[in-house]
Amino acid sequence: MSGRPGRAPEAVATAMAAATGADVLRLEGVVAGYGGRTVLQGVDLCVAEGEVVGLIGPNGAGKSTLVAVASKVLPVSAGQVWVDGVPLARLGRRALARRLAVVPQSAPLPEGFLAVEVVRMGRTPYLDPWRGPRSVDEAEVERAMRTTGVLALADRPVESLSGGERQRVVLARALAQRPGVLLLDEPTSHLDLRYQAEVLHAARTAAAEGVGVLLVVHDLNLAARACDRVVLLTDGRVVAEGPADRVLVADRLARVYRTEVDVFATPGGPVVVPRV
Amino acid sequence: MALSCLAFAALVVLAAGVGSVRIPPAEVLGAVGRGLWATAGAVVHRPPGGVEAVGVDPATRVFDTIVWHIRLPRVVLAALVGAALALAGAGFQGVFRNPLADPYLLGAASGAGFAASLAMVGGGAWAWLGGLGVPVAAFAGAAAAVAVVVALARRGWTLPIVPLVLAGVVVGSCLAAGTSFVLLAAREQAAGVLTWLLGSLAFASWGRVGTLLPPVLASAAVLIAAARSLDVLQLGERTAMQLGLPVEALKLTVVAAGTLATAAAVSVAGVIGFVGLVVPHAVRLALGPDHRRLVPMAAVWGAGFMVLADLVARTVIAPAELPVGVVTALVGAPFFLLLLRRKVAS
Repeated sequence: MSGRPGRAPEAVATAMAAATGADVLRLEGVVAGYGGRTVLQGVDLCVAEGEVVGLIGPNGAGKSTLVAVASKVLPVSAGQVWVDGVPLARLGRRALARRLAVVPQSAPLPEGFLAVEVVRMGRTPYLDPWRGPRSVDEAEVERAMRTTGVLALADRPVESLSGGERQRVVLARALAQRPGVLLLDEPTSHLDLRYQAEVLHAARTAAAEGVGVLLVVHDLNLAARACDRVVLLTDGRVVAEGPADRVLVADRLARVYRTEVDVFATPGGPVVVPRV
Repeated sequence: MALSCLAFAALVVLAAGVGSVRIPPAEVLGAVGRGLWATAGAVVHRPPGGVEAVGVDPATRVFDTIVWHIRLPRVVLAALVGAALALAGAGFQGVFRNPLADPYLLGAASGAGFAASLAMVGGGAWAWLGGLGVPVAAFAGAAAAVAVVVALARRGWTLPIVPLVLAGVVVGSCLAAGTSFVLLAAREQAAGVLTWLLGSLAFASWGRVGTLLPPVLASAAVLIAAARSLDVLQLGERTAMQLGLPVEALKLTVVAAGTLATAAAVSVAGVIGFVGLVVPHAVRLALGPDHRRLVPMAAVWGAGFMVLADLVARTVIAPAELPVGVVTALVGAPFFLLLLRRKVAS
């Protein structure tokens, strides 16, 4: 690789980018890592409002690191991040949490809380210690729970919920933050097909309401199905981005994942199957 | 909550009535009423020669003296100490997200113990403080030990939990060794020091109640204000940050408030164990993990538990007394083991 880091030589045309509206999340030349180990080696990425962008790539490519950087849990060592057009460095935690929400990869919920109490925690960036939730907060909580279809579960203790229900409760908590950007870090891992569909449907519903969604996902077929656009990350660099059928190409995937794959074109998008 | 407060009030009346002289509940209430009236009157009018209760029969006067000047300060002090330790325990368990955390986790007890034992043994050097030498030393020792632990564990402006607990353990055992050395070096005073270390409410007075009340109230206010944030923290530090919570400030605030309550309690009553561990635990089992309920109820239950423990401590081998720390540990240890077994089983 030569030239500017992150400007991948085989980048697919990004005709769809910025087609929908303003960028709610934008990364330029982001370098970040843990201790001495650099994980992201200059990443450019943007998510427009109302758009679902899939972030794919092999294990260790830096997908979760990117989520950590964008949510200001991990500092950048070089490059810039903008959320809603505001540089990340200028946003405090509270201000950021009103613009960007994260559904974490493994989200253990503390036992004993009701689903509605967990969703209400999404209003944290709007509350202060001495004043409880007001009617506007309760309205947002209800709206978020309706969007993800968990309103009927409001008074159930979280430990009594199924994996898919719990994940949708966490998604509702994120939506209750009223974010412009939603980062979903592997929201469907460990879920069976029905729950995968439910969670992704809820994410699409949020996007339809104008939220920009960055979906970190392992399953390439799910990414192809659920996303407007996918970004393929490997070794901390973007190697391809664009519509799924342009990015998910057999020889590229074979190179990136270091295994032979077959790609079948279907009416619902490309289907990738490894050769065994 | 109303029920718990009512039960607590009944317990206070009972505890103030039981002792070498038994006083019926009605007389206790009467004595408390007259005591409050007299105090309020003294504050307002400041009559020369003190307050005279007029038209009351002599037995009642004796009861009044016993209840108002001897028993009640002790009962109220016990309640405040119990509330302080349980509040601190609830705060620490919330911040460490570990139900096995207690107020002494960061070295407050061993710091107080070491400083207090030095003050008792080297009494002369502390003479200028009068009778306050030991309480002041204990408070300073507790606060200093926690401050050192926090300073050792911090990374810049963050306070990572695992190094914090490790530093607490290391500093704690270091200071405990120091206390053992002091005990060995000053053998003739060892019994007195040990009694203090095990905790006692025998030196109760309205004055001590007065010193303990402000720090406990301040700590309670801070912890109750932090309750909602503590709930959010249970999602994990990273998720709490992503929800906009100032996680590091919260940890530091709760540790400071908990340490204030703990140091204040220890300075007037010695090192009383298990209340801060067991009471928040029991409340969580009974009422759930919501800190907005857990924190205030831990204070009420802690106060009640302590009043009861002190009642047992001063009556069970009357006229002698058990150190109250022994009683709380005798109840607390088996309860703790039971919880531990349940935790392992689940």
